[in-house]
Amino acid sequence: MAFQPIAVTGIGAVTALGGNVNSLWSGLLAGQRPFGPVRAFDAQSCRVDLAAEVSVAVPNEGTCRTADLAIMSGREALADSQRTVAADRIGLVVASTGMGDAALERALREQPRDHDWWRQCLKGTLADELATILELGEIRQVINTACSSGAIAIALACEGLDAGDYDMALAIGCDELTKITYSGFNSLRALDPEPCKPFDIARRGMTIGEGSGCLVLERLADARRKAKRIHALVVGAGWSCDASHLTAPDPGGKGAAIAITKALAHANVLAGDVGFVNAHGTGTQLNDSAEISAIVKALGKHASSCKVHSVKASTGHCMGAAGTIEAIVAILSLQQGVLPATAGLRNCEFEGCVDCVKLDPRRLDKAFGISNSFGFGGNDATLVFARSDSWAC
Amino acid sequence: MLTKMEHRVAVIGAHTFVPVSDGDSAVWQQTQKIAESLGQASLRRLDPLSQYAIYAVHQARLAAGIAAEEHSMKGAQCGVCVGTALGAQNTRIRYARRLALHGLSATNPIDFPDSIDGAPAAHIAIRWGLQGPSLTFADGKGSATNALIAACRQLATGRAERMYVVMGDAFDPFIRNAMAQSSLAPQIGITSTSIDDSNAFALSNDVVLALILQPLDDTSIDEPPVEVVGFLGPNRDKLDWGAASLFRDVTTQNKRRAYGDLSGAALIAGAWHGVAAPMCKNGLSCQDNALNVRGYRCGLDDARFPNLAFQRLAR
Repeated sequence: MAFQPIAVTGIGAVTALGGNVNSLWSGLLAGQRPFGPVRAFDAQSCRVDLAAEVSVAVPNEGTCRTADLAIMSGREALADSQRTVAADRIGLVVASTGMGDAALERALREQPRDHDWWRQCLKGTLADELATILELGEIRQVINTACSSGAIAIALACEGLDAGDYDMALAIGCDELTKITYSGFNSLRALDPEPCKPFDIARRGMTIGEGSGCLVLERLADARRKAKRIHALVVGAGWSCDASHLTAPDPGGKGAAIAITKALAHANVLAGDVGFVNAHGTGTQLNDSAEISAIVKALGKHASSCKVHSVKASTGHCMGAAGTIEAIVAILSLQQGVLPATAGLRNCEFEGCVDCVKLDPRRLDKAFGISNSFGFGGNDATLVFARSDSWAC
Repeated sequence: MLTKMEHRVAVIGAHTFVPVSDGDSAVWQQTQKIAESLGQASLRRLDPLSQYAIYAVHQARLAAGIAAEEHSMKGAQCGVCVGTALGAQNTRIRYARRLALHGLSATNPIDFPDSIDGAPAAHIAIRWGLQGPSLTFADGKGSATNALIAACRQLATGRAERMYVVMGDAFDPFIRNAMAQSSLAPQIGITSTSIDDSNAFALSNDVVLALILQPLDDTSIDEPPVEVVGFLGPNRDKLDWGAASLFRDVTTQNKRRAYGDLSGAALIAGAWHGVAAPMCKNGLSCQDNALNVRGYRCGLDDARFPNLAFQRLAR
């Protein structure tokens, strides 16, 4: 059962490429890779000392950097959309994987006298904080399905709009770079000592980033009635679970293929109509090969002509924010008719299976694109986006 | 906000697990019992929340009459929703403590993925082959209600034909102590039957509640014992204003009797406000309010104590 098409009327992003959507887009088109040694903490004891941190000034408005990043992207998205709905009819769905880690680290180190620090470990307080500062309503959710959280947040916001829970929704993904997350992936030997190279034969792992992405969503009919500018449409979503391993993807991409297939069925879009895949594309050996297998399974004979790229080669893997940032890139790709290349990709391992976009951006001629997000726990999520002029009310 | 229930959903199985303990040895025995009952000693290394969740689901499946070997329903049509305020926090803190105090080399790599909020859902999905939706709400106050709403929606939209819902938290002593000493702890003691300070909360034991849901019109259900009928909230202005999820005993629906209630003021099933029900703006308890909104005027004897109600149901 499909939800009604949802209009994306506002977008905001903070990434290592810059503090707004324009810098994200121009950085991707230019193939920038703003990676460097970790500044947030001492990572010299780690095997790898490389990350994609946000270097622009982030106003200190919240109780932690994760909140600050979210507020910054939220303000940009709300300004872009123009608020036409009363605050109590605006819902909020937040995705974060590491919120609270910084407070926990501090508490363990410093044993603070103020015992209220534990509240910062509750992700629910992040939603409360964002809703207060951004002047939103009472309906809030915080989702954590690991690195697929951002995409799931968008899907849940669309479902909430469809069900009439609210008339406008903000889907925000946000995560700062924390020592716990960085060390964890380092211990699992999932980090590339060099800037990550998704889909390349020489890929050796991911590069962790930080940031936030925010989408303002409204029912298409409402947005058109208000004559709002519509960036693109969310027309379908699918999610599933590998149910096979806590950290490793199913090698054959079975769960991910289910998510893609469900999303296309949900959107009533044919595999041959998909112009591109904004891949999860972390740059790890297992993830990239499992994802390509999933795309081939789900798109069948159309896979080889389907353009595939990964944003993480430029933004790093932004954890809970990844799904929202990559959704914004998918939306801009449809809007601009251009797909940025995967930076750093030279020798694609999957030539012939899919059409990996490397070296230079490519023109798009189809009206639909999908964005994949996968995470620990075998969580798989796929969103289907459509060009705004492709759908009648 | 009363979330609409456009499709009827039945609770076909339920189990509440409260590890009663007065010290480490009792907890250990409890954990051993879980591992033995599931025939899987390796469960011991999992975060307590994951262990409790697996055990509660196991028992809920038994209550629902789902045989251990039953795979009549395809995995892709079965999913899991977890609501937890604190996630797999015991493991997160263990990992963070070793990292902070002894450095990276002292950490156990597997602790990191086992400490994510979604770990309990992942272990449940892996154990029972659930390839459908897997969602974890790490939402403090509204976790339980949001998980339940999402699960009902998965069924209503056809994304799943059966959903396992797990709601719970397992406290780490480090967090528990901080909570107990924080300014938000009740000043009148946690054994009181009322909390005057509207910002206060009371802590209780770890608790995990598992429900198994299916669409009520599913012909495979002969006599659905309990129906999910509605939700109130989550209401977010204050810590103690929570959410309520209402359940109705289908077999006594003429009496319009509320059979159980999950108040999501924070942690679930009464774990957070283990003493008094959270209050809404109008001075009614959150459960009273939810019942009023739904047009129920009955007593709340059953609804106030979901653990008892669901344990009875499980039997």
